[in-house]
Amino acid sequence: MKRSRSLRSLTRRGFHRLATMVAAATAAGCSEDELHFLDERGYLLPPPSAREQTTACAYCIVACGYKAYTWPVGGESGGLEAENNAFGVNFPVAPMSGYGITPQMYNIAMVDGEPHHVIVMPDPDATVVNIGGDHNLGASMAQRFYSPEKATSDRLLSPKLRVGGELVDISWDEATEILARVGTHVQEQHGPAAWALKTFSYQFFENTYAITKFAFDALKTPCWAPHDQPASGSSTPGLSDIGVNAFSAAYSDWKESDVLFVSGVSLYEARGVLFSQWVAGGPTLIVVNPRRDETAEYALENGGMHLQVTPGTDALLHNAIAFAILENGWQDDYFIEGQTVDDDELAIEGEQSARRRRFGRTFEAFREFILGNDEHAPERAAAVTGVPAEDIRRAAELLARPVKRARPKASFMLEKGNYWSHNYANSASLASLGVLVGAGNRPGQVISRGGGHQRGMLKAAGYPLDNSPVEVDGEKRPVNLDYWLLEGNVRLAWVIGCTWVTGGSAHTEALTAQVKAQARGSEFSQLDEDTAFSGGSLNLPAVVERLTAKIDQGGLVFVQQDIYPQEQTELADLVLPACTWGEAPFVRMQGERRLRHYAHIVDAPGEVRPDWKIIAEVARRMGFEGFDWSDENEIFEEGAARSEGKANDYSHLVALANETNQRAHDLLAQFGTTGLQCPIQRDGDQLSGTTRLHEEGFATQTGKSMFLAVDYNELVVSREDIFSPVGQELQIINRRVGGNWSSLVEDLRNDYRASLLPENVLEINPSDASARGIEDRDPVRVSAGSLQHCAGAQVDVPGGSFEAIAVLSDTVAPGVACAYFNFRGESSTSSNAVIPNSADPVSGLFSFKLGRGTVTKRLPKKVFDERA
Amino acid sequence: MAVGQIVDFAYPTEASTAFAIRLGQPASNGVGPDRDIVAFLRACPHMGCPIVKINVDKGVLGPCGCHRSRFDLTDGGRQIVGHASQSLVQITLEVEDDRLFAVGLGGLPYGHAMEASR
Repeated sequence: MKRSRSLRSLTRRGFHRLATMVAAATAAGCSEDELHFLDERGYLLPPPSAREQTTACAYCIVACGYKAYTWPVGGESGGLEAENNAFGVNFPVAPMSGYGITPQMYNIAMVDGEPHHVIVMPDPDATVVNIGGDHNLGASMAQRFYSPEKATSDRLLSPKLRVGGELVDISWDEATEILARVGTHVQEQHGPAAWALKTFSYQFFENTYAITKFAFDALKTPCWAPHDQPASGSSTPGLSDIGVNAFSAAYSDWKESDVLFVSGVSLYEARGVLFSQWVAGGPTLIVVNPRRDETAEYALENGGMHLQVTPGTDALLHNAIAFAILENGWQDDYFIEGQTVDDDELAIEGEQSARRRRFGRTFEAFREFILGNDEHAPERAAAVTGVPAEDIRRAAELLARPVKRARPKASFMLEKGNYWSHNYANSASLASLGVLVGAGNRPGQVISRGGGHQRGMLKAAGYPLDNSPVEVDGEKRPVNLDYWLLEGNVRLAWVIGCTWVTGGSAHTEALTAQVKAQARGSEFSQLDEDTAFSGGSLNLPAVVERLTAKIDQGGLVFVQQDIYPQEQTELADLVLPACTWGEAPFVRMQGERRLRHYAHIVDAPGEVRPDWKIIAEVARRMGFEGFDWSDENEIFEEGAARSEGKANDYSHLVALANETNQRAHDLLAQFGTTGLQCPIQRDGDQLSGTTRLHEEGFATQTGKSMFLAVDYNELVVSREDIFSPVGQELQIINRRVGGNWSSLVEDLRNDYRASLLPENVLEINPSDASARGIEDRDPVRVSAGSLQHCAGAQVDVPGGSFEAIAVLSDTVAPGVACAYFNFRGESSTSSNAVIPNSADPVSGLFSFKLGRGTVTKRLPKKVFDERA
Repeated sequence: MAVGQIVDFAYPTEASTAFAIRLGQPASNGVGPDRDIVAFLRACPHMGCPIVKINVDKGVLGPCGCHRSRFDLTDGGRQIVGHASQSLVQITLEVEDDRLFAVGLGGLPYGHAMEASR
């Protein structure tokens, strides 16, 4: 076809071509091909009659408010005119309108057994969290819904049992009975400590309540650990010790602060809306990160600082900044006088806590500790931390130097780059630095985590520390589940919603090998077809006999409960399919303790069940009482009593609901995407939230905060042989990537998100790359040595390795390389493979940010660009 | 077009700002003898802000002035870093008689919706 018009004169042509295709596709009763086109390239608007529900994002801690619209396929969809769509707005809409819907927000899923159009979009009317409908990762949540035609088609849809080496479908009745009988055998013959319950800690109150009721109250096992830690305990013990809840701050506090100390937080990349709504355009940033990330770039462009700290040296940096503050007398004397302990009060705190007894200090003692140690002097600390002395002094000035007799409002945000390094030393020294400048419980002056996953833990009972077989210096410690497994103590592992042994913990190759040996080893009884089936039916007694025989022989039965198959599934004896966000109604909090109701939007596919329901069924069959819930609301209401007096206290909500004959879920849903900030307050029939914690006193015996003396040599230098690179090794740190989430479970099933990170990427300084003959985009292997690598660790294990694509970049300093963490949750690609398994001597947690290994080029060369 | 040259135009409507650029390196959906000429809408697919900055040497559009998103012009507008849930909308180009024609879009422009049959 001859064209005679200029480029400009053809401006409408392509648009009309698209519009024509769309019109064809949107006729009532779309064909499958047409619906596929809609899914890939466009979306339909909901009609005024569409069902509207409120929910929140499924991903990061910020939990932006979202709305879901559903309407039947084949029925009338919405129009461009305000009166013809559910939003009441005319399309096209202007930039920043909040109604900028993208194809990722649209899908087709089953609702009440019929195909429905679904739009899940940021709430344009949101007045909290994501005001005006700002969004990030959550904009793709509609793609999570199951579709037999799309990448989500590999969803686990029915229970499975490994027979003759293959997983075969069985019924829920059979699956839960097998697990109950095997569990009873383990409980009676091997004891509660022969279990390993490795479970998510975030996936909604209802599920975590059922998990902890089963683990702590029914089994009374100490062998439980959350998905991201080897043992039970606070992620930020330093904050706990000064009496600060890790999520005590309100988001408005970040905005109100004059200067914000951001330690180890991928703020822009992984908590995008927290950055755009509550930080950008607000405080001056001091970013502490071994990698010059996007947040650091922003800081440098806007009058702030990037302190490119040598990995693992944060505690000394904190002490050095404290030194510079104290040297100048810039500490907040008024706050210190009124809100921190004196000698008598410190003694009271010490009676309650061994850690406070060991590390707690009054201001005077802390000042003496900091100024009395020359190693804290900025000029000395610079050589260790890699941060120039003048930068340390400037950071101190920004944080604490009064201007015209007014103190700057300083706040402190920390995350895994901080506390997944040297856990106690880093979090405790940061906490003390915060207290020194008056942060902790005032508007714009707070100390809190940026946050990772959302806050979905509701404990039905306390961790049974008395049952723990682990003691350190005469004190009971929670069981390190990784060590427990590696030492061969586990007989029945039930892994719920995480990638424990393949990618989700330190030294993953050793964990995987251990499970392979115990669960699949040929020396142990395995279930074969002749044993498992009799007359075409499952021979349940024979199955249980064979599995318990394996256990008694020293083997292991491995149960995986999840939504998708993964590498870990290949190790499992029993697979239990669970439902997830949007497939049942749930509740949880986000990063400023905002409690929201997450609507049940679409049908749960296949035979999947909520996690709580699976656990309750097994518990009942084992003879435990108190697991007779009929739905999520019943659990939520029961759990209220366990929240009383805690940061997640929602007891007033349930009390009011009961008094007014409402379901607590329904009452909370009335608060939409705004929700209520816990602890929830009540005045008559009015409920309100708590903006920030600790305004009436810190979470200590005396209500006073304190300082913590962190001896860098004692807690950090003493562990250098474990974590410091030697020879040709580099320090291997890891990070998140915006647009991707965690172990990439959903990313792998979303073409757009998968395209953002098709392979693990190792950022390496050009000088280090050159020295190893590595060019940009070369495939590389990162390998940790064997026993030498883990010298000093409590359990000796072989090393590990993972594969990545090298990207030459000066965002990391020479000697440091940075990968995506837990890429795909697989042993061959997760950077956790090169993390030493040495637990923090104070807290018992791992240093997931302090890997080390040699980097070599892989052959044959693979072209990274081929991903397209 | 010379390497590095940027041509602004309106597409698909008079109100929609777009640009064509010769990157000097082969690009996804590129046209011309070196397959290095591409065109995109300037509207950020995150919230519609027009993106002004272009790093010609790196073939990168952005950062967006609203939320700092950046897009790879050599790779179909794939987001490098940012908050968008789709790639930058690429404009399909055709060359005829040494002239460039914009003949289609790789996706819906920000803020537009599809009209259902009614």
